[in-house]
Amino acid sequence: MKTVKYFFAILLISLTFSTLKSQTIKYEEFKLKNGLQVLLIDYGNVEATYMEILVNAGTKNETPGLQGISSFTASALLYGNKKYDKIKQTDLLYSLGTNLNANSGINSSSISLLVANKNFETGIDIFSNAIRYPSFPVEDVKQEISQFVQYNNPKKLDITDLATKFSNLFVFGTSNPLGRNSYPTQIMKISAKEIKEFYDFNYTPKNTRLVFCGKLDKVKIKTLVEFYFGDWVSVYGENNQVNLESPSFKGREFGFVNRDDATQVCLNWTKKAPGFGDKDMMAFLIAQNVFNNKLFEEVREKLGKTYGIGMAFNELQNKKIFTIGTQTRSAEMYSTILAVDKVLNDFYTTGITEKELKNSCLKLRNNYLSISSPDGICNYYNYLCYPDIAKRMNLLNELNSQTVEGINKVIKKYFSSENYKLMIAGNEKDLAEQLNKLKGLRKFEPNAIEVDQ
Amino acid sequence: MKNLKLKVQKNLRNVSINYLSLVLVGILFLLSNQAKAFEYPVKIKVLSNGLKVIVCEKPGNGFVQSEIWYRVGSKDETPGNRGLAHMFEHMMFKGSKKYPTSLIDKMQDIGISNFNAYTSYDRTVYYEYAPLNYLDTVFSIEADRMENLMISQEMLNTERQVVAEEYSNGRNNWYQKMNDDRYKFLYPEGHPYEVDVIGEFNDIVNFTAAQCQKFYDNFYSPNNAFMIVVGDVQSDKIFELAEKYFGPIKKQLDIKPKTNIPDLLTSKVKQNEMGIDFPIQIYSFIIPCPAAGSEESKAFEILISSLFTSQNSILNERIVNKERLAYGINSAGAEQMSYTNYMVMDVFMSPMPGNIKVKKEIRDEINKVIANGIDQSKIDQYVRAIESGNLLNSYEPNSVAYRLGVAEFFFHDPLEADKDIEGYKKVSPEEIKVVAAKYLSEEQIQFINIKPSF
Repeated sequence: MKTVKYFFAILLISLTFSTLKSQTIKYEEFKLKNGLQVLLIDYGNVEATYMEILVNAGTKNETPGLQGISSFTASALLYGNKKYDKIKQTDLLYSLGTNLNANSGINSSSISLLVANKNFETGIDIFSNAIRYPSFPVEDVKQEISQFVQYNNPKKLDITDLATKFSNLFVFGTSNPLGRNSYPTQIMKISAKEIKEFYDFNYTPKNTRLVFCGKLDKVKIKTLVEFYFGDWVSVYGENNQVNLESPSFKGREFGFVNRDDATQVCLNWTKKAPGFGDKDMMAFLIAQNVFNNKLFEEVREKLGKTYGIGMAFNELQNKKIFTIGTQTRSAEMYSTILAVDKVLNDFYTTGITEKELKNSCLKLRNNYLSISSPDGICNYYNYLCYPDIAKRMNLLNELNSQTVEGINKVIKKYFSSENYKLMIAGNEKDLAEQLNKLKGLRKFEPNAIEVDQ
Repeated sequence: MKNLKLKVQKNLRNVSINYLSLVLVGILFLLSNQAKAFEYPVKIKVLSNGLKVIVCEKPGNGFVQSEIWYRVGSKDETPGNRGLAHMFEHMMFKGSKKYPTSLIDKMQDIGISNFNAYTSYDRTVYYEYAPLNYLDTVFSIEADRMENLMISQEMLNTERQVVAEEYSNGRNNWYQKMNDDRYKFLYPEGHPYEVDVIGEFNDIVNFTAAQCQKFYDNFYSPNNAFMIVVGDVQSDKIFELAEKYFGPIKKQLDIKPKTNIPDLLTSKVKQNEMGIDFPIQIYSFIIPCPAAGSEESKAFEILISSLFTSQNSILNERIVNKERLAYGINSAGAEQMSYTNYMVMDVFMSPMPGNIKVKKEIRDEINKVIANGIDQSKIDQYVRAIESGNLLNSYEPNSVAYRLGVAEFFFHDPLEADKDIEGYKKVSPEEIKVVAAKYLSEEQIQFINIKPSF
């Protein structure tokens, strides 16, 4: 549907809490002999079941030269398998009124399917065959890679994508998988064989979690899980753990990449954030909420500098950074930087008030409680990241225990306007004068991201 | 410019309407107590000012989806105010008499984060997803901005910049830019969908408070809107609440449907080739579509899905999956609309000389459908897919509200949503053949070849 969305780009990029909830759930866990952990969650009255496999493999697991392979591997699971070729699988899924979905991010990948209970047997058959017996057809892989290269031409990326890619490089550097970007000549070298190897190494019973959520027939599910996944064994063993270095921030650092025909400029700040499981996390999330409101109010509503501005942070990605992103007209680049600096500085100096804490907690609580779909529930109880379900259910109590003082301490730690990396993407001709005002500006050549290590 | 605040006093507008209002006072149409829409009871009441309130009692998590659909969109704009419907959607968050500061702040203050709005060609929809006990405040805000919106040139000046940035955002993305540029070639002058929703840049940056005020006076009234509430609610209480807040708002002049719409079956697009600053080639097939709710619309939907848009469509299977001649097929503008409109089917390919083969193969497949129709099995599969899809989409109150809203918008009956399936089941292969011949013949389908221009 053709629509023009209103202002809340701020919410769209503030993903962390978008589907969270902390209701009490009824759940059951069990483990197969091969180590595959399974979670069953009773949810809702709709006669349907959501099934999802979470794989501990994402960008963090990509080795130099194989940027993008975690995403290609997840997609390639949908190209057909020993039992269903791609066309047959597509036809069957269409009849069921559903889709098999594949996602891949920094930290993990997932395959999921929502199916009506009357079609459960067919659904789990398609789902399990896609995960267990993918055929990775050479021609389909080639087509996907060729399409990706076509659509991701570095010279034609829009300025948001351009700023994001160069920001990765600027912040993490090429020694870190999060700092290495995919690019055409590198992507073209990825073949079905490499994808199969990545799959064999990472898609293993102990490296994955299987979740079912909905109006469940548990007896049937247990029988079918044993049937489809009981004989799954790892080809390479079971260790794909990686530890990534945290990026460092020393003062204000500025980077720039040129895009000749840009009609606006994209600004992408990166700052330090807590990592997964950090004690500061809840306070940080509350601070994020208040800060986002301030950014929106000051930069957009009062100054009219942009359509969308927001702070993005995703706890589950464990990148240990947060970003602030916006686009504005070229003539307003420098004044927008100053405006964001001011919001940061004011926030750092004054912190939050009791009222803001109360409102923010209320909003987060409502976000937790308003979840209304099984995929939302599974996203919140991310079984890969939060193996302790009982603890995760206790999140609202943790929210209740937050204080203004505690949050202001966390704000002092993360929200200074003195330490960040700002990547700018725009038309250098239009921006030259303003760029001169940025001390130590580092200009990146357009091909600077085409580095593997 | 001085801070000019045009406080809206709708109760003083269109005084002639008041007589009618008096006649209607107290007459409340409790239209139905019909159960079993989406397995949940749907109840409807029309207030004396014409505002229809549709309530779906869907048990859930204590949260409620509340929506107001105004029957106004870019179709209601005229030259010089292109983009005003969307601009006005922004202004609806700027404050009202009872809530003079930003309504965004007000929503945030009470802990509602899931609220927003959208503007399309035909309608503008405002929605909130909030705990049940907030509904009183939500209704109060919605009613006040329906009746007493504050529009100042100062606020508008800032918001014009914001919307101008929104417009420019799209110009930085190759596909959005191509869509914007192409849209200008499609519709004949005088058609309600002549200009895209975002509007014209020069109009946007020059909108005045007076233009906004006039737009508000004309289109934002209870009899040009309806309300949908879905969630853990009791309909009687919702009707009471609606009466309390919306009941006193005066009815305005009814908006009449547009007439003398240019015929798209005889209209020609303005250009058949265009350049694009991206290394990809797109064949755009411009297909005239019947208006929503017309006799042909169900058969047309099945036809388009089976031929173009579904994941297993005839063309997806042949062109994309088997012969790998194209990366994919994407439909732009494929939605139900009030008037005849164009659907655009984009076939994406790597730019190369042999692509003309794709055009020929697509024409071959279309001709086969015109000659032979499609199998009954394809129709049955479509019906099964819709049935399952409806079930799987019934978790979220907003999905339920959307289905009810679309049915009310086009059929003036939300329960029509439940009759969809029966309508599809009645479509025959013969009917599809007839519709294919009418809308997909060589004379009807127009073509734009979009090629890299660098």
